[in-house]
Amino acid sequence: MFSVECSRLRFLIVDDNNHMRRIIRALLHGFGIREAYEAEDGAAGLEAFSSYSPDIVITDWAMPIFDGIELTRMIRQPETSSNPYVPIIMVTGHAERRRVSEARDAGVTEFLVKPISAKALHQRIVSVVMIPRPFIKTATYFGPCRRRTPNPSYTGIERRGKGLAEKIDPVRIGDAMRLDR
Amino acid sequence: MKPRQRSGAPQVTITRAADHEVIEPRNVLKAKAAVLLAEPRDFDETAIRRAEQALKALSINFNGWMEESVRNLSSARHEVKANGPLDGRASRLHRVAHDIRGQAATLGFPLAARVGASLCRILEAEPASKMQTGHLARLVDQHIDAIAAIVREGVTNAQHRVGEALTSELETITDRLLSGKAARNLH
Repeated sequence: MFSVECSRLRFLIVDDNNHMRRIIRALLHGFGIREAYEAEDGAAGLEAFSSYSPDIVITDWAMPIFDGIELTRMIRQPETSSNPYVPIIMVTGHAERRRVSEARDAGVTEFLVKPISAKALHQRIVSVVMIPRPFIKTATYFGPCRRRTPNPSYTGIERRGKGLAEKIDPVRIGDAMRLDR
Repeated sequence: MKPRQRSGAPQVTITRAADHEVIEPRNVLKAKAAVLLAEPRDFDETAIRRAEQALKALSINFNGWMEESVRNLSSARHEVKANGPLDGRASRLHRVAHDIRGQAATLGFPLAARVGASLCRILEAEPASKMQTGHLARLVDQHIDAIAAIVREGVTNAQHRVGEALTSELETITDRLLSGKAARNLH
């Protein structure tokens, strides 16, 4: 059986609240993580994302000027982002269902409602490393597949059925984007 | 236009359909960090235990952090009352309340988190222009006073008799206020 050696991963923590950044950093250090960078708003987070190429981004939602949703949307720009596939874990006080949907639609990989716990954060990290979801690109969405579980009551057309798809060999992201033009 | 540096992006496999693409990036993180273990659960539990100990070591700061949050909340509230909700003052008040909702339980003040959540519901549902005077303004003040009292008195027990009664009462008033608003909106 596999688990995750967290010390081999590089993290970026984006949160305007200094206390919360320290809490998350303490938890990450407890997991054995040595490389964790911090940013205190979305704009600084985006800059740090480009500079440090983190393996996983942990971001708050509510931040002044440029929030976690906007940061996620910027990272999930396949044409311009240095790694649009990076796992993004959103840690937030927002627990409402519509907020979870909004985060999911922006391209957040995992959603973690505060209060944060070591176990919940560890589970999210293991999940994004060991069982990543494929990415979906449509006219209006680019991000992790939003289907987590089969919906037995769904009666519409299965748009991801067999026979529709054309398989393309592994390509680098830059080549993939050029194929779209 | 020259593409931006993409050295951090993994290789991908793309499956194309009529109106979408399914993109499977190569799992570089698994290649980098996965370890094969006889007892992965023990390994994970040890990591979680270490993190909990790190959080415990940090907890000597938590009372001070909560007191700082209360000062920020009072100051943001004062700004809204004195100068009105514009120019980011109302959003700052909401942000501080939202921080308390999110972090107070981690800092050992679960009742303050509940009162913070109730306060956030009011601030999110009602227009900021109503927060300076009147019954809504008083209700906002009562929430802030309750959070301050919970922190001042060191109420860290979620079952604290007076603290729990105060929190429940504020939540009930907020529920009544917002359900009344929802009913009015239906008519």
